[in-house]
Amino acid sequence: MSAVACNKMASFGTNKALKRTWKQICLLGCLCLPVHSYAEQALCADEKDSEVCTPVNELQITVALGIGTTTNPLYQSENTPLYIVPDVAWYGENWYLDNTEIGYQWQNTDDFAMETFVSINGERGNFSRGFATNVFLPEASPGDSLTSDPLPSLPEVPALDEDSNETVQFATNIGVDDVAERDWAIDAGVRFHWYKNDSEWSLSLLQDISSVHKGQQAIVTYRHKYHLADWMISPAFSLAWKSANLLDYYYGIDVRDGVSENLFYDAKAGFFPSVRVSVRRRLNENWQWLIFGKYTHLDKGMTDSPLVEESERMTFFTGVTYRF
Amino acid sequence: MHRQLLTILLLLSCLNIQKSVAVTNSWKVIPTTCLVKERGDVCNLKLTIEVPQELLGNSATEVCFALEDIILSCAQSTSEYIEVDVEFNKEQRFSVLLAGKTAYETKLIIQTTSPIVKKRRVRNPWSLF
Repeated sequence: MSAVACNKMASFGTNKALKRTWKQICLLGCLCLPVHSYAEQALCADEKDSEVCTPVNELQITVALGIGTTTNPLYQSENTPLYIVPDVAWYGENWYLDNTEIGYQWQNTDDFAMETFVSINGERGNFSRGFATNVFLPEASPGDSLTSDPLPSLPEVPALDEDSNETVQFATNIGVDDVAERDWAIDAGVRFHWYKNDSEWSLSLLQDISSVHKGQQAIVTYRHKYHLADWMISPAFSLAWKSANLLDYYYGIDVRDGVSENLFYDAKAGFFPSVRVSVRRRLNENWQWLIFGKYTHLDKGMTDSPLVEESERMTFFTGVTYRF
Repeated sequence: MHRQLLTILLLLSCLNIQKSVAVTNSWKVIPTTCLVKERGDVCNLKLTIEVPQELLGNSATEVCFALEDIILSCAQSTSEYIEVDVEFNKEQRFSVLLAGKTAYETKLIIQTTSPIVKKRRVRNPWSLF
């Protein structure tokens, strides 16, 4: 990666300070590059775990079959049932495809790795059920929601004019169908990994390059793997920061939505702590048993929006996986 | 003519003796490479350690063997060859110790028959969840 490439990367920033930060991060990564050549590239330390370690230049497709759900924090939205979920990975010597991400690994040693990538921003997934987790599922109809709770009614307050028999209703929430459509966004980013034994720290910095929301994200993750005979338990903790631009595009309400001004909302930047655990048990060469759970606490910058009803997002899945 | 041939043969045989003495003067460990199916597989190897001639001539000396500085076993240097069982799953340093000091050191290497090279994924599997 050259300084020219770093200048290009810096152009993703929306202001001078951000551009400078991107450039510094990029150049810092470049400085590390000559230290380790490809010949020193780390082989997979956990080669028997076919999901963590993938053969070079082979398309690896795994499909999970089971039952699960992902909650949707938006008002009047439906949870997403999970029955069939794919996991796709292809890794070349440097280029890779990992589900919704395409990237280039600049460095990959036993204890450190760095890549730059472009990926689909998943925030838009809240606004539809056609996201990648549900590629095999039809679009939802109102009756097949996993949540059977009736939609909450609007709060009723006494009429201001006592002579009138009418009551006035103030809407405090609004459904996704009543606002303007939000677009998918493409992020570009850089990710650093620090490995030690079965632990990993990673830092991801992302910037919207599709000019949809023009926002940024920063994610710090700690992951650990425990091997117990045929069992693999992998807990991970992460903290994501999402910029005001990102959250405001998706959860802000303004004139574009054509709704009453009393619903207008400017979303602020916020932090999203998350914990996820996957438990896998190898059944044979191709089959594994999988239990997956994830909990994300949503920041007030998002949950204060009239579009948002819940303060968390959860995913649970159990089933078997088959590796082709 | 016969005497000349005999002299040449005698010289050659002396050279040969000289050569073998030179070899047995140092330690020799065989084999040092283990072939496994896949990287990470455990290798069980019976090492044959050739004791140098000079030690055989002396009174019995205790020789110890270590893998990455962990003592595996000790034996008396009364026989020309000593066998040691080792178990390892990655490249290891094998040492011969005399009176607690390293007298000889070699690497035990693992090679795989599987040509598949694997890489660590940069994202969590099942990131679509």
